Amino acid sequence: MTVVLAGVLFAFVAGLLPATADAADRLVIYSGRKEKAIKPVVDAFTKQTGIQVDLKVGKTSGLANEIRMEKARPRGDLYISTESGIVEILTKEGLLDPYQSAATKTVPEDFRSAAGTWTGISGRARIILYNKNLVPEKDVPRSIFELTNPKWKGRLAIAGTRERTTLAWATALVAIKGETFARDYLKGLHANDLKILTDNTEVWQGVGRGEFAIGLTNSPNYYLARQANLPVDVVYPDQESGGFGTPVNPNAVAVIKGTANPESARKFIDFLLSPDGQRILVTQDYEIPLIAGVNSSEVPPLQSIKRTAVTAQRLADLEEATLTLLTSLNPNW
Amino acid sequence: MTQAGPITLTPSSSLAPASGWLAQIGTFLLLAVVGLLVLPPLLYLAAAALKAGELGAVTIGSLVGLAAMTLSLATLATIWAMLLALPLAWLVIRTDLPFRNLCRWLAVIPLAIPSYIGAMSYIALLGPVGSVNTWLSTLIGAPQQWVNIYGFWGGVFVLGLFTYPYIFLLVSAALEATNPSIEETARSLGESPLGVFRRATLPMLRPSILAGGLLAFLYALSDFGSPSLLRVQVFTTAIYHQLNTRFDQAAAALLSFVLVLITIAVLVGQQMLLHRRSYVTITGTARLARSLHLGRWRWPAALLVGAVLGLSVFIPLGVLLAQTGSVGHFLEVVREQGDYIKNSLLLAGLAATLAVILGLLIAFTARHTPPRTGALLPGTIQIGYAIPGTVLGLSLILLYNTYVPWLYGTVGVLVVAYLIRFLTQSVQGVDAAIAGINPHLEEAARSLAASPWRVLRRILAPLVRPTLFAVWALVFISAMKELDATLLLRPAGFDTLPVRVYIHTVEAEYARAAVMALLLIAFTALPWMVVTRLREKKLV
Amino acid sequence: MTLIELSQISLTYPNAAAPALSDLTLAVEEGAALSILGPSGCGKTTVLRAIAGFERPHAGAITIAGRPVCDAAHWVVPEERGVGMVFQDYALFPHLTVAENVAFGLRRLEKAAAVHMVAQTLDLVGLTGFEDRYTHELSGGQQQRVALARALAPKPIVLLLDEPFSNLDPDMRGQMREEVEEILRLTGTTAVLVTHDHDEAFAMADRVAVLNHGRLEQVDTPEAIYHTPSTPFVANFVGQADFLLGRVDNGKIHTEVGIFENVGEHPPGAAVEIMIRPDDVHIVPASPGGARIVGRQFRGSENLYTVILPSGQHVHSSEGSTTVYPIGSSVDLKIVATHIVTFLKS
Repeated sequence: MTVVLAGVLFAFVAGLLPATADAADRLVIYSGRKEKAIKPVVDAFTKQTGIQVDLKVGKTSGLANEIRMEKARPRGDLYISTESGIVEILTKEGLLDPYQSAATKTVPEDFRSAAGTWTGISGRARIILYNKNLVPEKDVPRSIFELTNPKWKGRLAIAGTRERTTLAWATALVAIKGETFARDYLKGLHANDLKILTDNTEVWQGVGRGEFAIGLTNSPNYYLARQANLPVDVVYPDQESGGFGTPVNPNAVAVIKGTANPESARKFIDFLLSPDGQRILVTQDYEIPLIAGVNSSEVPPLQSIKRTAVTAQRLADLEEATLTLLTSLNPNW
Repeated sequence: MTQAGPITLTPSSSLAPASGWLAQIGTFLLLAVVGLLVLPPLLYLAAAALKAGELGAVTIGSLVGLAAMTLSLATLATIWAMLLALPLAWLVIRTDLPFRNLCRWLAVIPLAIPSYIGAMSYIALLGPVGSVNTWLSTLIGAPQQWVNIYGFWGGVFVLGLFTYPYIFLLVSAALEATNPSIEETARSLGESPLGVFRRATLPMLRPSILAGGLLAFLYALSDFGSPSLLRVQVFTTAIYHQLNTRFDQAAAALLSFVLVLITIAVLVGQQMLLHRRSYVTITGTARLARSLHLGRWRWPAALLVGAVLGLSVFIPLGVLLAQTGSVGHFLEVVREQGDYIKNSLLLAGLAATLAVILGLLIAFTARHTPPRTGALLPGTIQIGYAIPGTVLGLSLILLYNTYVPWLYGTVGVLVVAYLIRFLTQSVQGVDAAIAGINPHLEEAARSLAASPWRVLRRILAPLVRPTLFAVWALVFISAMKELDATLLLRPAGFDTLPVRVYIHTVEAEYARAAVMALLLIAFTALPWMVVTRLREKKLV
Repeated sequence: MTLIELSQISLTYPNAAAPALSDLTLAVEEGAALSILGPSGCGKTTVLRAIAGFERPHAGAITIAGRPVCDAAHWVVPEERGVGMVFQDYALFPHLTVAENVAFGLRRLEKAAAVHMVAQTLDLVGLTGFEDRYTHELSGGQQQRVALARALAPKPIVLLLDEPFSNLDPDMRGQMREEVEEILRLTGTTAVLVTHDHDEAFAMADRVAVLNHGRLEQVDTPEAIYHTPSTPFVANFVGQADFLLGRVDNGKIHTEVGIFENVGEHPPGAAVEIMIRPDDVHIVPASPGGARIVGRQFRGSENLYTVILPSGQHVHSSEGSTTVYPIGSSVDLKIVATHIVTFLKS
């Protein structure tokens, strides 16, 4: 029995070893971006440079917590987040290394770090997603501020702040319109029984299947819903001149401080911002290209969207106060 | 297990005082396991929680609200699980129910279905825009929301459905081992079959119902997946909110610590409950009970059992199957992601094997140390079960990356996490099995010049072997399903089946998620099937 | 030579009010058999367990073959004491065959030697041919023999038997008792036997130790224990006994049924009890007015009569099985005591 046991144990350990061996000369990427979106870029990068990559896909916020916990002995080389507020927090905590790729300056200034720690790689706009069967063309709202109208009572959905883009949207509201206005507006939404869901997937699916008439979510979700043959359409809200515009959130990449492979990490960022990398990235998941000249067939270009004028740093500064405001209005945020 | 007369239990523990090198190594190992495995995360939580206390990030009011919600969810889910498990166990063991062996086997399958997958299935089915609502609306012609699985009652429903096998397993084993003559006596005294169940069977089963209920309760207390998906605000979801939205690790630690304290209170309560009554020692089965003839109730009973199994096995599996798409797609996903199956199997197998070895050593040693330490140490191991996976994962990152860097970043740290969470299943199981062995066997062996090590290897281990296999399967099942800690602790490039289910679900690739979920369930249930078959053939 | 020596052993179980053993001193000679006799709960099994090393006394010392195994400075674990034990419930290993059970204690021997020893020991207990059986396939008596063989095979310094025959049928019991006695004699094994049955204790042992409430009442030969018990408890426990009240007068003890020697040298005027056994008491028919037969139990080889004295005291008498007196007969009692045992009345 002892011999059998020892054999079994040995087999287990032997079976697991290849997965753990020679991790040092491989690039480790912590990605909050979907595997579907980032994996093709990684594969192309490996093909081009010969550098092996270990990808760890997870929630943007979960990976950020991991980076904080690993501070003493960083294990990841690169971090890809789905939102800028989080990389601002990590910058403040001194967990990221500055790196300016040659292509960084072609990214609009509001999509890269003032400290040079992170660079936007693609963007997502806040949109109004609606169900065409439930909202007749004449009723389609053109502004998020129309949604406090009682006719939308019980028909609205948004993801909670577990989705950081929701928090960024609310923070932009506080930053531009002021806290009093934001509070009244959000109260108005709650008066209309705004349903707070777990994540954006629930929002686009709920709208697509008719549980809700209108959802506040991100632009790629419109394409996902359409791909699933759901009867939805999209509005980029508040586009009139002098209007609020709509926040565009960048997906960001950054080098984790203390990386063992700074060269490879930088190469990867260069590749990500190169025309090749950008093309693969934005076509995979209906992202908005941030670099001029990179075009996606279906997604409206960045220039065509009037975006809310607020910097990532300002958003990061106001984030905590906004969160307190939100949870004071409804614990489900 | 013994054949020469009933076991006589003397008031003392009846075991020789600990001595010799094995006992010392055993005691040392026990202390090391408890000390190095379970205590550091607990101490870390306590320290971090103290820091949060000053910040006041979490108000007393919100804590009370969370505690009330969490405890009601866990309590009602446990009661629901008991309502499912008890009739099922009684019908399967004691009556001439049709297909009783098949039913007995199927009733354990829900354990292999992670509650988050169960919740997703029921959302697809009973959600506001789920199949049932759609179908009813089409049938009646008026779009309307008939059922809604979201919310508290949905959480109770789903948690109970996927935890009742804990109770079923223990109760059916106890039913099988108790002497049927007690029930027959009650019948001869004029009790109706239902009266027998209520007045004779149920009291006899109380210890196993309590033990199974405790497992279900602790599972419900520490589960994150299903309450999160079903939108119930409990401790685990609040912890997640603090961690991932507010980035407040101290507040998360405080909440986790309160959850751990609640668990300790529950465990202490259970100990006191068990202490006050004497253990009913079950002497070897005298004979098999004659099956009770259900008569005209046979098919209604089968219908009831079918309903329970339908809700907990066939419906979730059916929903997943419906989502997988074509056979070709299924095979393609399997081919593409075969590595993850290997990862999961090896990892869970390693964790289960270590848990059984450690469990045997710890249970053996605990019986040879003074009663107070002997109970305290396994008790501490039990608390590990209650640390929410996410919090455990984060604390292990900090602790192991700082102090044991060579282990962190390998699958070793995953094994550590699984041991912290699931070692208690092995310790409790083996301890109960050893307690059922006549202590004279051990003394006889020692008087024949056998060292404690030899006693353990040659006498106790072979005698508890069926339990060792069962315990192995149980830990394996738990480790296969683990998601929260795995998500954080896995080395980059090393995914397990639950991680793949998670990734595909988040990315709305439901067909792939369903394939991976089915694979996960199949491979999780596999060892249980093997163990049951072997046991039926009396091979273990 | 003294093989086992217990001196001033005291032991109290956790959470127990009274000590299980107090201040117990006992010795076993090499090659001898000692019976420890007493009612249940008297601590007799505890003595065995202390010798085997399963319980650790709080005070006192134990030596086995001159080696201190338990005192303030020494503690030898059970597996290093070289004692064999036969348990009341046999404690056979259910997952091993008969041969494997017997071989369990022989792992220090060469394989061939062990095989030989197993065969030899099984032959000794009459179980040749049962080597490959599992223990649940054996009768109670056969299980008992396996337990004995298993304990004897490693040639223990001392064999400890804990109520070894109590799980057997009465007829089986007598037969096994004889067989075991024969085996012990043949092998020259020193044995300590615990029992609550005085017949068993007398039949098996060279010396008997009577225990009561954890205290030693008397250690002596079976004959001495029976005929000259040192306490009323012993007198009563080892067989039917009656106690006649008497008073010391003129150097003699005067009782209702006669005058006895003051063997205990009790002071004049003292109230004493004289122990008489039924076989010391004989019945002679007499005219009415004296003692009267009130009961008769036929026991096969004897008749046991209960006689009531004028004072109301009951006395028992053992007569031949053919000697029958009707109940109600008036009788005289003749006491023919080889041993007069007296106790001061407390």
